[in-house]
Amino acid sequence: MYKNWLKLLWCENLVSSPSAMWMLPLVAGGGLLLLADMQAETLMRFEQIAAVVEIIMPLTVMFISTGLILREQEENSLVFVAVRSSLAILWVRRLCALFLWYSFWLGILIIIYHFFYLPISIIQMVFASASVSLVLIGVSSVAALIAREMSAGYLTGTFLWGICLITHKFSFGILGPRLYLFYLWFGTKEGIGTDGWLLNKLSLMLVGVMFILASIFLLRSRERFFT
Amino acid sequence: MVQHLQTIIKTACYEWKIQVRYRTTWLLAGLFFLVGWFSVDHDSLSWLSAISIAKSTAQGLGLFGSLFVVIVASPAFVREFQATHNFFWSRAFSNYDYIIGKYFGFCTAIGMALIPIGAWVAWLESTLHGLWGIVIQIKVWAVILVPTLMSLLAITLLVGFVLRRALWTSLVMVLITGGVLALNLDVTHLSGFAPYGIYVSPLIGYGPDRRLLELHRVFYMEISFLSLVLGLLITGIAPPRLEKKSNLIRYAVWFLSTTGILIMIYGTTIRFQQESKTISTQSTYEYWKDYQNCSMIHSYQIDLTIEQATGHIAGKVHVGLHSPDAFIQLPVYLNAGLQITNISTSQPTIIARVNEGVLSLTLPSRWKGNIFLTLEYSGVLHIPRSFYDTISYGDERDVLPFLVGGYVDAETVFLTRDGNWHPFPGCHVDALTIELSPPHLNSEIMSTTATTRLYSPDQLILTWEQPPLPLFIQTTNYRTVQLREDSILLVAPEHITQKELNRIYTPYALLIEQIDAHLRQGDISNSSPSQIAILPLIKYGRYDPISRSLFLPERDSMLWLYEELLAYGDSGALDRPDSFYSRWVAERMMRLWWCSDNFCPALQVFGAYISFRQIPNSIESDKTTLNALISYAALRLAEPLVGQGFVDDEINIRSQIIDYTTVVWPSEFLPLAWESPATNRMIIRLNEFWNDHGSGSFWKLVRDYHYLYGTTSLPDDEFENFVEQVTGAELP
Repeated sequence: MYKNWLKLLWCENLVSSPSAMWMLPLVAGGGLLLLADMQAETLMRFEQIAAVVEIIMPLTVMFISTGLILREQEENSLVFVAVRSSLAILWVRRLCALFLWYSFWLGILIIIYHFFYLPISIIQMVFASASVSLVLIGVSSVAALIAREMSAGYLTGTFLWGICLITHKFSFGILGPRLYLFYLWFGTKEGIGTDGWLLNKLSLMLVGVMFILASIFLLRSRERFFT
Repeated sequence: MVQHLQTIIKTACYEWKIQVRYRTTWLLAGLFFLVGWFSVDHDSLSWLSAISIAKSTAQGLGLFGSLFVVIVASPAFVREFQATHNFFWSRAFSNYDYIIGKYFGFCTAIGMALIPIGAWVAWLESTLHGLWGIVIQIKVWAVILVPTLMSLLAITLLVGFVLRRALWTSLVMVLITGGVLALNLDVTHLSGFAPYGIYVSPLIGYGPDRRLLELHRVFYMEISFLSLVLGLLITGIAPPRLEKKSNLIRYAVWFLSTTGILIMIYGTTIRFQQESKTISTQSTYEYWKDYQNCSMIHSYQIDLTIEQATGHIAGKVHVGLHSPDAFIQLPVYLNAGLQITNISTSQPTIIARVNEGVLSLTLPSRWKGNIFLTLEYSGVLHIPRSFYDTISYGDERDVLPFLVGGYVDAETVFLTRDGNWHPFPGCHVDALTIELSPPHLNSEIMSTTATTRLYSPDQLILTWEQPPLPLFIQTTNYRTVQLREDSILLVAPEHITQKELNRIYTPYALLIEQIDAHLRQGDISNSSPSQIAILPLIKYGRYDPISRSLFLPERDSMLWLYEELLAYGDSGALDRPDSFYSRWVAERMMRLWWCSDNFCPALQVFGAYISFRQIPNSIESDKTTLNALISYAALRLAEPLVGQGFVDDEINIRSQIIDYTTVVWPSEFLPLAWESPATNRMIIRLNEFWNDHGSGSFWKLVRDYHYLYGTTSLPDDEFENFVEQVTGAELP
């Protein structure tokens, strides 16, 4: 039974986001470039790891996740699948499959960092990355489903990501230490410490889940008239 | 040709129509509006110049717009490459025309998305600065925004044609763009996708950055062109439909075009690096700390010719020296862009040469008498960025004055007397002749003390036969504002609103009158109206008591202080914020008057901004008595503006915080209140002296101290002796 489930999840990934099969390993592989930097001190290394797990990886998964349903809708190939599964369940299943695939590659990357770059808490980094990813996925999905265009989701998710990255001090002031996306990276970069990271990540996770629930609601409301 | 053009235009129209129908495009317009809204400092709106509003919105839109446009552009450019795209090719047309048309159509769609924010900024500009503000907005947006976005769209097109998938293209472009923008945020020079830290001024536009900005923008337009050409080449190799095979001639044309553009890009890059290196040079600044060598110079005359169109300067200085030694060495602090072309002496037996910034004179043995020499120099002024940059470099470099002392462009010339546009800045100038060619017909000259003035269509010659004005300016750009009956303000158009001009600069006009009343020597009955000019590039102000001319920097920390005080006043935390502002203006005016004869920027360090942080030790040594005297004199100078009640309150606050064991509100808003306990004690003693002996004795004390001691600060006991000597009374 578990084998069937795994096969199903594998197929869901392959069908809904074939790019994810190689894009996530590729980006994770790109993160290994940090290993070439032998000069950086501990704090700098932590900052760089935080940049990869909080900034780059969640952006990638946000881009992939936005097209889980909408890509097929734009290509007019969703009708066949839609009559066999509820769209909301289909989307959640695909999202879980994507998340598992993402966590797998993220975990490998962080383990490599832990042994060869800087001893870090693997669970902390995975949790940090996952919470940021959930928020970006949630926000971009809601925007995409409201506008019924993938680009709208990309735009909104990237706007939030860009604001938090480029104008990081301003965003930290507005969002606060509870809701600022890249808390570990910012705390290390600005030297303000990262003691409140757990609360920050829990808050982000909650916000992300709320947005995902909103996406589910938006999907359900359109189920019969999706095409 | 006509058919190609038709295809391009039609495709552009269709692409625009397709983009207009996407909700994403309207979301983009909304995000542009949001970014543009937050790019403007709404609290300081009335103090922002037209060019600064345009620049801040353009930079914000360029910064975030870079991320947005690549996301929206990616699916648009690769639409025809998608496997599921059914494209009906109804007639034969050129693939290249189609792609070029798509590119321009998409650019038009992005332009359309910018209309809402553009309209709002235009409304803002017209409300605050009139219709000319809209012209400035269009010019600045065209310079900053258009090359940025067009180059990004061209690169997105190229990457899209290589990757052939919208998702991959979007992700790659966002990561690259976001990374470059994030990493370039701390860079002060022009780099990255939008120019950061460029100098803008209502009077001189981009000023010294003009050349660098031009090269930077040209570079990005060349990148756009190259990306488009490469994109077309890729579609030629792997087209989305069946195409005729290209022949050798076509490939040769591609190769030559690409090579040509690459050579252009290389040339632009090299020139950009040269220009960037020139303005990044660090000049020595020791001369203004203590220029001792002026004592050897007994006469100093300057003849200067300025060709405004090219910015070329040619100077000839006639120097008279006296020295008991047979070998004289004199440092020459000439601007890096000016070279000495000729040295001649009054006697052929005197050998003179300049080597590595030092003038060496070898006199015949047993020489008696004075030496006269003439130095000729020419070139173009180099203005290092550190003299006018808005980015903080750290304590000592932050307080550097405008050492170049001069700026020349087609519309504006200004020169400060103590700049290194002549070889011995800081030394007393006996006579100055300036020849401007060709002069502008509608210029305003802020130079009322010129002895002679000869005007012809080809040139304008001004001569001063007494020590010239600290500053000379000629520009076509000023406007005149009547502050008071006998006070005019010269300011660039679209600088700040009329209402704020009056509020901010009227205290200066009133204090000039106070200075005339208490500090000016000689007859003041026939004084000319006072003039206040707001100038770019200078860091500290200058005041000339004889002509009653005041020059203030355009980028002024006092404006920041004014905003802070008003904010505290609005919140109810501070009473009479206007009075505190007048108090600081008086502090500044007192120090400007103190330095009117001598170049003493160290005394100007006590500006509103500097007082809130530590003074760098290498610039400021212990000047307790001098600071206390100047500060108390400023308080009394401001009395007609702030009232006796404010004066009493300040003295009370200083008494309470004297040993720094208590903090009294609002002590941190008073100049030097937290400088040292000794300063506060001396101010209190001076106040007691005022109460005991009146204003006449006090102002005599100030005038005599300034005349005899200048910027020297006497120890307490010597100062007490001095007070007794001058006024006949003891200092309490």
